[in-house]
This record gives sequence, C-alpha cells and structure tokens, in this order.
Amino acid sequence: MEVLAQTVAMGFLMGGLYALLAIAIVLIFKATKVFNLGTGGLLMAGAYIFYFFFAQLMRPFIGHPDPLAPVMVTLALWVLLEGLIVTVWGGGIKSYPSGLPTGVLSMGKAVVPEILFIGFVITVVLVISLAAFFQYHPLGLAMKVTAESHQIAQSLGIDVKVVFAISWAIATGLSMLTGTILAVHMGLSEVLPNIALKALSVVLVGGLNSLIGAFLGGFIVGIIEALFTSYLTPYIGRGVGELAPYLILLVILLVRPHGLFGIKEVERI
Amino acid sequence: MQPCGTFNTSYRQDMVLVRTPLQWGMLIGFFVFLVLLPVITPIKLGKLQLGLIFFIFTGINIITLHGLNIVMGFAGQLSLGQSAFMAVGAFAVSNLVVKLNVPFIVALPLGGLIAAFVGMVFGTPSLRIKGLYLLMATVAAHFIIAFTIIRLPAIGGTLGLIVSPPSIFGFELNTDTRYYYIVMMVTIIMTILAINLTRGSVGRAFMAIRDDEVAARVMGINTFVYKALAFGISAFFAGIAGALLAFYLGMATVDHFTLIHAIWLMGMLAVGGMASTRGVIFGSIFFNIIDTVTTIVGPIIQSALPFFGHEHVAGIAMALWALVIIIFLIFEPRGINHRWETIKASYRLHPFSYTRE
Repeated sequence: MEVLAQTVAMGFLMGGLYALLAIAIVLIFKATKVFNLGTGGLLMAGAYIFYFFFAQLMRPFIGHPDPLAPVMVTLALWVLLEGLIVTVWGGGIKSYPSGLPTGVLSMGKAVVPEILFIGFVITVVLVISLAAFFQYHPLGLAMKVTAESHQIAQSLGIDVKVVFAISWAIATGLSMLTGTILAVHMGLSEVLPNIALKALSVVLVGGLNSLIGAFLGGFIVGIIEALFTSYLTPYIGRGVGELAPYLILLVILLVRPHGLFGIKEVERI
Repeated sequence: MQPCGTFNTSYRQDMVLVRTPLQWGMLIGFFVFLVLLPVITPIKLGKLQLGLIFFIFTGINIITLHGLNIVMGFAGQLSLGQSAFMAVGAFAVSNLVVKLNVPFIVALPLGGLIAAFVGMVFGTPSLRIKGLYLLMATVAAHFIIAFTIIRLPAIGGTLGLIVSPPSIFGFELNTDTRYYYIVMMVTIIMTILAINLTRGSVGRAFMAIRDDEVAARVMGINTFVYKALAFGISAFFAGIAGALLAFYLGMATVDHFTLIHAIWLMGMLAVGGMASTRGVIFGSIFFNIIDTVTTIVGPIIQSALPFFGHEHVAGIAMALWALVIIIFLIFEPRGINHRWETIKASYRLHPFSYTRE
C-alpha cells in the first residue's frame, strides 16, 4: 500500500509538470496551428541557462566573506554574455522581426507604442504577485532573512541554496522578458545592457530592499528621463535624457542613500 | 616574509626596498632588459612590433591600475570611474598641448592634477555612502563625465581631439620605440610612487579606513579627507595613463574610455591580487597577454573561417577575459600575487615547506 501511495503521489506531481509542458505545446498549436516538437529543446535551454548562472557561477559565493567578489562575478557575467553574443551575431543595431506587436495606441492626447503598454500591464501583474509572495509566502520571508545574513538564515534552518536558486530563476526570467519587450521597442543591439544600468538608478530611488519602491521608482525615473529628453535637448544637446537617470542616482545617493521607500541599515561595530 | 639570515640592525635597513645583492642584481638586470627590449623583441605582425606594443599597453595599464589599487585595494572604496578619469586626463593633456602649446612634459603632470581634482569631486559621495552604493555613484560619474566631454566642444566634442606625437626637449616621440621609452620611464616612476605611498602614513590611513571605518575615525583619522585623497590619487594615476594612451593612439576620444574598460580594470585587479603592487603588475601583464593572443589569433580565425567577421572576433576577447575573471574569483580570489607568494615561501623554506602555514 505504501508503494502505491508513493507511486501515485509521484505520478501526480510529475503529471503536473507534464501538464505544464502540454499547455506550452497546446498554446502554440491552438494559436498558430504549429505543432511545436521543439518544446524539449526550449526546456533544456532554460534548464542549462539556469544551471550556468546559478550552479556554476553564484553557488561558490554563498556565505563568501568578501561581499565584493559576487558583485565582480556579476559584472564579469555581463561582459561574458556580451562577448559571446558579439562573437555569434556581431555588433551593431538590428531590427527585431519578432512578430510581436509594433503598432501604436492612442490614449487621449498621447500616442504610445503598443508593446510598451503590454509591458506595463505585465509589470503591474508581476509586481503585485511578487509583493504578495514576499509578504505572505514562507519562501518569500526566507528570502528576506537570507538577504540579511547567509549565516543567520542557515542557522534558522533556511536552505540558502534554495533561496539563491529561486531568486536567481525569477530574476533571470524577469530580465529575459524585459529584454524581449525592449528589443521590440528599441531594436536589437549590444547596447541593451545599458538599460540595466539605468535600472540601478531606479533601484536606488526606490530603495534597494523595497519592491514597491522599485515599482514606483521606475515610473519616477522614466517620467523624469522623458521630460529631460523633451524639454532640455534643445538647450543642452542630444543624450541629455540618457544622462537623467544617473543625475537622479547621484542626487538620491547624496540626499537619501537608502532611497525613498528603503529601510535604513543600522551600522554595527 | 624575509629571506633566512636577514637581521636588520637599523631602521634604515628595515625600511629599505632592495635588500640583498641578488635583488640588486636582478633589478639592474631587469632595467637592462627594459632598455634593450626594442632591440631584442622578436614578435612582429606585418609592420607592427607586437612585443613593443604589448609593453606600451602594459605600462599604461599598470599606471592606471596602481591608481585603482590605491582606491579599491588599500582604501577599500569601490570605483568604476577609473576609465572616465583616464578620459579626463587624456582630454586635459591634449587640450593643454594642442590649444595652449604647453610642453608635453609639463602638461602630463598638470593633466594628472586636473584628473585628480575631478576624481576628488566625484569621490565626495564616499563621505555618505559606501560599498555597492558608492560603486553605483561612480557608474553615474562615468556617464556624467563622458557626457560633459562630448557636449562641450571646447573640451572635446563628439569627434574627439587629434593630437600629434609629443616631443620632449625637442626630441620627437614619433616611433613606437621612442614612445616605449617614455611610457616605461613614467611607469617606473609611478610604480615607485605607488609603493612608497602605500608604505607611508597615508597608506596606513587608507588601510585603516578599509578595515574598519568607524575604528579609523576613533583612531583620529579624518576619514573624509583621506577618502577624497584616495580618489584624487587614483584619478591622478588614471589621468596620466589616459594621456599616455591618447598620445600613443594619436587621438583623444571618449570611445577609448568605456564603462567596460573600467570593468576590465577591476578584473585585472582581481586577477592580479588586491592591495599589492606586485598584483597590479601581474594583473596588467596577464590581461595584455590575453589581449595580444587574441590580436594574433583573431586574423588567423578570420582567414580560416571567412564568414566570421571582424566584430565577431572582438567578442571572443571579451568573453575570454570575463571567463578568466570568473575563474579567478571562484578558484583563487586572492589573485596571482597570492599564488606567487606561496611559491616563494615554499622555495625559501625548501626542505620544510609544510611549515609555511
């Protein structure tokens, strides 16, 4: 009887994953009448990308005494990926014939690209679900503890490796989604990573440890950048909009280093 | 650690840099090697003397890396602004020489001082913030400096500034060999400066701030002044290196001083080993070896695989260097310098190498 229970339970859970994959196949078939036998390849690519980022790069740095080392690894990761991409596809801007919507929507007096509007809707949904996850789910709470200290988290019985893995998986997925949307809007090129540098400014405006801060900070920085681009370009010159996030970053760091919504860290001796 | 049988009997003896006759011999031998290098360098690629170019770029990298080592390795303040400070030095010296006709030998340190001033200004956020926050502030500094240079035609403008080969006391530095000598001389002077700076009271103050800022303040170190000083000194080194680079390439343009370059400098420091002058030299040489190898191998790959364009090859160098940084950070976070000291110690203690730890 035990064997049966075990078998059925395992089968049930594996079946859930099969169902997820089946949905992926059905989605494409129902929408486009193409039977996607390549689902397995996509599945493998996802698994390997995650394996590379997390298992091979970040895992040696769990509980590392030098906080600088993992940061430098992430910087090197950026250069590595950029290098690989340039090796395969070469430099320069390419148009992005993805088939994703490229039209415009008119909203009152303003006209906006359709893809940015879709991106906005996705953002709102994701932010609400992530905020709820951090606030209520035990794993979300475990993540907060891990950020505080790897050692404390481990002694509380939290599996730091799991926390690392899941947060990296979510973040990788979010970045890939954003990259796809941005490439439709701006074209495909190796300068896309610079957008992520602007996100640094957003993160600091909102506060490094606040999801809602990151959400609102994004709008603050986005609007100020657009205002700079529209109103200051005639006086200062092209590119002043690009500069806006960095100016905001410097100002916020000097005036309120922990951001608008972040929690001030207490320094202990 | 000192070699066996060395007993210092005076402070002078204790502080001296070159201790034994063997060390003197090796030092002089190395100087002779540097002087003779243009004659003996064998590697040529077409008309280019790769050996000389290698040493010129290594020298320039060593100078700027000394600066980064002082601010990051010794003072413990993260900085990604080094590349932008190099740009400041490059444009300052180019403007002084081209527009104001200042002699190169005067303009070089003057440009360094201008870069140092800019560095101090952008180092002031370190008063309030530290660690990752400071890193982001220096990223902002990078973009603000680059934007300012591009948007002010009086300084540089979009196209940059074309410079002719500099001359020192009427001696034109128009060949690689001549330029090599000036770069080597400046590199040696700056290296001695860096060594002595970190041995003195300033260096000790930097290290105190790095190890614990609150404790340093309790000890009576004015942390604000010393942090600003660290940024200033680092930018001084960067400025001189940037100027040498601009004059070697015959052009000062923002395109040479990218954020990726700043990341590479950080990587060189990590690979060589933080907070040691030797690590700086190891890191620069290691980076330039990879760079030169890809320069040589690139055209070979291109001729073998014709569909593989020029810009694709540039990607290989980037990916390779990033991979090296990651491997070092995972397997030898203390850099080549630590490995070198381990080897040296086990040689000195030879039959009893296990006593090292």
